[in-house]
Amino acid sequence: MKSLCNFFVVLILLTGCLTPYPAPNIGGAVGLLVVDGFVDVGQHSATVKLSRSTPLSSKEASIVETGAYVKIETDSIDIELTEISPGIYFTANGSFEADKSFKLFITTSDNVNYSSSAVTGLSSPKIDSITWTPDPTGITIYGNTSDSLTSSRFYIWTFEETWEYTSYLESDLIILNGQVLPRTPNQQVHYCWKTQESTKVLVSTSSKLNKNVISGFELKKIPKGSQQISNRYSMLAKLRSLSEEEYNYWHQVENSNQNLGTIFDPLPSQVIGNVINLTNPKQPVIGYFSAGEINQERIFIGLNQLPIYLFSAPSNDCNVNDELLIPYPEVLNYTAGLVIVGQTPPGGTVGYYLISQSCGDCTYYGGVTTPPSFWH
Amino acid sequence: MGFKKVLFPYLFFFSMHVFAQERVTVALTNARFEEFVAIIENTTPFHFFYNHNDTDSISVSINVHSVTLDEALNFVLQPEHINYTIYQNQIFITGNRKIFVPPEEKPFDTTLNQDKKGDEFDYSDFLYSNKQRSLESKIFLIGAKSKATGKSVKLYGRIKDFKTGETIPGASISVDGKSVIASDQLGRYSLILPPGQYQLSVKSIGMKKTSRTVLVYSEGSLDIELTEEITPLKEVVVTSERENRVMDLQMGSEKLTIKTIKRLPTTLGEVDVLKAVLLTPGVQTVGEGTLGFNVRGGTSSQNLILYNDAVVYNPSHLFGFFSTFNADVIKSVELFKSGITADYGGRIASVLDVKSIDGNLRKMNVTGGLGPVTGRLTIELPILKEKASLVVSGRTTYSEWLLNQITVGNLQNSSANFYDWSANYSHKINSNNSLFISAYTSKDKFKLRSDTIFQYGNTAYSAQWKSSLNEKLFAVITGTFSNYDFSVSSTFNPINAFKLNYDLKQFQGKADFTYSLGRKGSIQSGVNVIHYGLSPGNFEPLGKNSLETPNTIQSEQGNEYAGYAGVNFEINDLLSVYMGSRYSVYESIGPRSVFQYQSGTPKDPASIVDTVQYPKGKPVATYQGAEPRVSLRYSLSSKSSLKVNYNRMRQYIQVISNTTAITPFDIWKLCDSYIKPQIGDQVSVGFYRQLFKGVVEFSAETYYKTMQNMIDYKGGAVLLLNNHLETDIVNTHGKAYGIEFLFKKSTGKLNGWLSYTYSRSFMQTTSHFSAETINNGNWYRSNYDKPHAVNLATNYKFNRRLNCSLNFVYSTGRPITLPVAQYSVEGVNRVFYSERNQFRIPDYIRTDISINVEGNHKIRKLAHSSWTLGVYNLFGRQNAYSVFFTSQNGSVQGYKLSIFARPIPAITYNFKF
Repeated sequence: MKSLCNFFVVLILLTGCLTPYPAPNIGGAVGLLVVDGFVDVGQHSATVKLSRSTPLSSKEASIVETGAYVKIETDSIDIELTEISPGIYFTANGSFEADKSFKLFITTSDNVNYSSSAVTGLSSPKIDSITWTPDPTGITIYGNTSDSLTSSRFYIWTFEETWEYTSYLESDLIILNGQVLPRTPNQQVHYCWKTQESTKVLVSTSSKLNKNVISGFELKKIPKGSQQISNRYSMLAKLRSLSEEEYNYWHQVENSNQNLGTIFDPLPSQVIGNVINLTNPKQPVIGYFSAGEINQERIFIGLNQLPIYLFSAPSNDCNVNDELLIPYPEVLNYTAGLVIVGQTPPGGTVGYYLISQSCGDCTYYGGVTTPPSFWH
Repeated sequence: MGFKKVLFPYLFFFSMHVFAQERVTVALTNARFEEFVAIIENTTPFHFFYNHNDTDSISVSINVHSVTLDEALNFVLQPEHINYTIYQNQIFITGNRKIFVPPEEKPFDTTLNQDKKGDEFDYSDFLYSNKQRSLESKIFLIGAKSKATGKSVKLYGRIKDFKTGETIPGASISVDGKSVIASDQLGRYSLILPPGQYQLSVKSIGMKKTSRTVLVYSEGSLDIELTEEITPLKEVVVTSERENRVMDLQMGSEKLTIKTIKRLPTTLGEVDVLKAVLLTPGVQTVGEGTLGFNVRGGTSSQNLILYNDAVVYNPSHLFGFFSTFNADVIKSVELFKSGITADYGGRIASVLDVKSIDGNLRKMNVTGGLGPVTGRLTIELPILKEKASLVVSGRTTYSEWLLNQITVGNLQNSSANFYDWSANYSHKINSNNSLFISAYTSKDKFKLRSDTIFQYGNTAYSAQWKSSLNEKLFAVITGTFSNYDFSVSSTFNPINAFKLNYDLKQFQGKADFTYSLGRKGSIQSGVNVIHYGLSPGNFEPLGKNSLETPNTIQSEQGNEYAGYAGVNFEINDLLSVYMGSRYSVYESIGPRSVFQYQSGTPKDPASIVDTVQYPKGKPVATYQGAEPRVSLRYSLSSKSSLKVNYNRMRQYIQVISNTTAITPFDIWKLCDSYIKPQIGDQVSVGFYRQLFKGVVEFSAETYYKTMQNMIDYKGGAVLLLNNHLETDIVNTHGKAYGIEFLFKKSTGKLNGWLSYTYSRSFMQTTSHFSAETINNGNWYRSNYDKPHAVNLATNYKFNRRLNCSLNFVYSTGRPITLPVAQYSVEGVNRVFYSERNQFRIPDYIRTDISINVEGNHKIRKLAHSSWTLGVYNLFGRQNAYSVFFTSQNGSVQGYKLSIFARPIPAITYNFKF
């Protein structure tokens, strides 16, 4: 029904409007325990992240929950987790194997007990391929996988994307220790690499198909002109099989958080996972405890692979002009927020062209200047 | 001046027609009658003959320009109940004595005045009023004096439309200001009266009131014609028409004439009967752009919407922006919120009865119009003069421009189409029998990109035979067929290409009988059989490459049988009662396979233990029950009354939807082994009073209602193509209560209504399994619980050609479930929702205006035209349709969605020839 929603977007464009709406100032479900637990049967480890919910008006979306006692019950033994950093509880153990059953127990520092329902460690199929198609508006990246008919037919996708980009202008010189020096390769700020995790819930199912095949599941759309496809882009897609129950959970999270804003919205509702508060069963617990295996696949998309119509000159205000020509040694005072992108021809007065970081320093946009290890 | 009793029986009419056209201009304030006489005598050749004793109490205030002498005299004398007669150049003031007209006169020859088409002006209204006035001042002899026996005798006849000859059902007839009875479905009335002289008053909504004086000797008939309430050119309005909700037994009903509806401001220029209903007290909607309406705390699927007695399941175009009823063919729209008589059944909240026009029996009419979105045309064609008429009507959109505005991305090549047409044929076979056949279809098609198509449509056919079996027994035999279907198909991704169909059919046969008890009341009874056939979802792959597996949800069949009897009776002048009951039986029938669930656990796909197969025709589940209905009216005075009503209704088919607004793709579902019939009980009490000499009518109605076996949905329920729907729903019951205040002014230059409603609606889950409860099993607000609502609908008539309407609507925002906390998992911020419907969106306020301009009234013109200019949401207030929070790029952002968030101007051209 997604396309139906699009139709309403049209009508709203013509007659309606969407305006920001401030969060109501209410207490309610603040301070509920948020559990994000996962037993990785591929890596034989378990990580449980604990936090508390916060009011919508709060800047911090969560407060870490420290000092809790956390254990996982397997078919044979109980395994305790240790807090390796605030709110993150971890252990590695050979008993974390596929097809075994696991159950989470938590006692928080205020002495409240929680437990999850039992979950089974599902093995996941390999990602068959990550494909992409261009069209005049941008590119779309798809995930494809297949498994046997007897395996789980529910999947969750996540991804980590990394892309290389450049500043609009290149800065060869740097002001360092009261001198203007050429930049060394380590000091370059023209090439940057940025990495971010997916934020959407991406679940798919083959349950209505007569084969256990996921074909062309849309993971990401990158619009034309985006920084992400300005040089070279890479995506590490991750796939995990889900139980039907967990699929329904994530589907509801998705419905309550992402698919809203049309006339015929489904009613959002409280989404309750598989963890309950044993001490006070009426108090809801947020989050899900799951077990499974993550398989991943990386692709690269280079500029040379893109069709010509997706090349777009980035629009910017980065013009070098004489107003930004600062004579030496005055230029040595301009170290904050500006970079040198040029100098006067030899012979005359020595001066340097300065420009704002947004034009000449790619780290301004959050990237790092060294490529990640997989970048080759 | 001396005066002698004079009677000029044979010359009376002659004199009227010759001299009534004499024009006079008079302006007097608080003058004596003599001054009035002096002016008339000075400016016309007429002379007065009168007795001072008859006129010395009259204080004359009159300001008229070029009216007929007759008009001027009526204006002055009628309020004083003083009669007069004109003979040659003489005006005789006859005091309280009336003019006697012998029965040989043929007063009902309506063709008499209609042939005068040589005149430049359309005098028909004017002639009608002239004629009417003369008819009103006569005494009609009923029966032969020689046959008079002294026993009560019958007076009967028809109420008709003066212009078209159509009969008028539901007109109220009162005798000497008391004993209101209504004309039946053939427009007939009958009264049992002891011999004597009576004043009959006849009125019907939107028609001018008229009266007849009858002198009853023995059995006889009298037909009475009414005309539309339009102020004729240069006529002085002397009497006013008031509907009488105070004396009527009916409560909890709103009747809107198409005339009232057409004057209301519109959305995008479309006259919309359902939008008009939303302006009445006790009717709510979840938001703009949706036609589902909620009556007194009920769901939108609890309304029985009838078009000429056939059920219409989803009367919406363009997903809900317009209703599918073409206003040009609608005669009346009546909404019953309580006081629903036993002849109606099948829904528990309300009945919306939409009736189309019968068609002009006298001349061909073509009406139509052009608005910003649609064009429409209606042809009324007399097939046999005075006997049979055909009405054909169609409407279609040229809204392509709407979508052609869109040039962004994947919405190019999209298109939206809709149309509706209707045809009906009415035939008066003889004075006792008539036949009415009606057909109606609406269709919507929306194409997204060119690879995804949404379609839905309604069909409603009905055939009705009305027959008078004898003088007291009246029968109506009706057969109807209704169909609702939708389909969605997509070829966007060849691997997932699919087509989905849904189809609902309803066949109905019913027989209704009315036995007249004379002026005291009547008995109604009847039987009703319905067969439902549903194909609740047929999903199939489209194309060779599609990997989708076909999935057909098993069909549903059901039969509903009902019988009813009811009597309305006037116990005495003060007290009238209605008592009735319906008994309905529903059976879900095979073939059907039914999942059996493990007892003692919540219904879940995992708890299925067995499947039971029911062969074709075998009952799967049967439900039955009585539906008593009682109403009572007690007159507190001639101006006020108290009414009490109790209703029980049962409903065997309901919409399964978990969206806020009703959508075209919601499925109707029959009762089965797990989904039980809904039962609604309502008690209501109303107080009615006429204020300001009856100019304003006030009513206050309060109600308390309970609803059993309602359905709500588990969070994230899957409702379409679900083979085990019972696992995704929860059973609830509901309660609703409220009070509605209404001030209504139907007459004068300024008319309209103002209402205030306080109403609440709650639900509660009934399961004891926590997986099947909402809000821990506590009462929670229903989606349409909007406590305060104010509606103002006004129309001001500047003159005959120009009137102006203003609407004002206020209501509390509807309840919503809001996020109350945020949390972060894997660096992504998300929101956690409150319990269901714990919060409300902001209040809704809207003001609309429209100006209706009529063309001039020359009869020789090719077409009579009118223009409607309007602005919807005049102040462009950004009313919230919904408020939602969404996580974008990892952070939580709240948005308010508004529809029609700016002033929407529209202009519509209407024509008639």
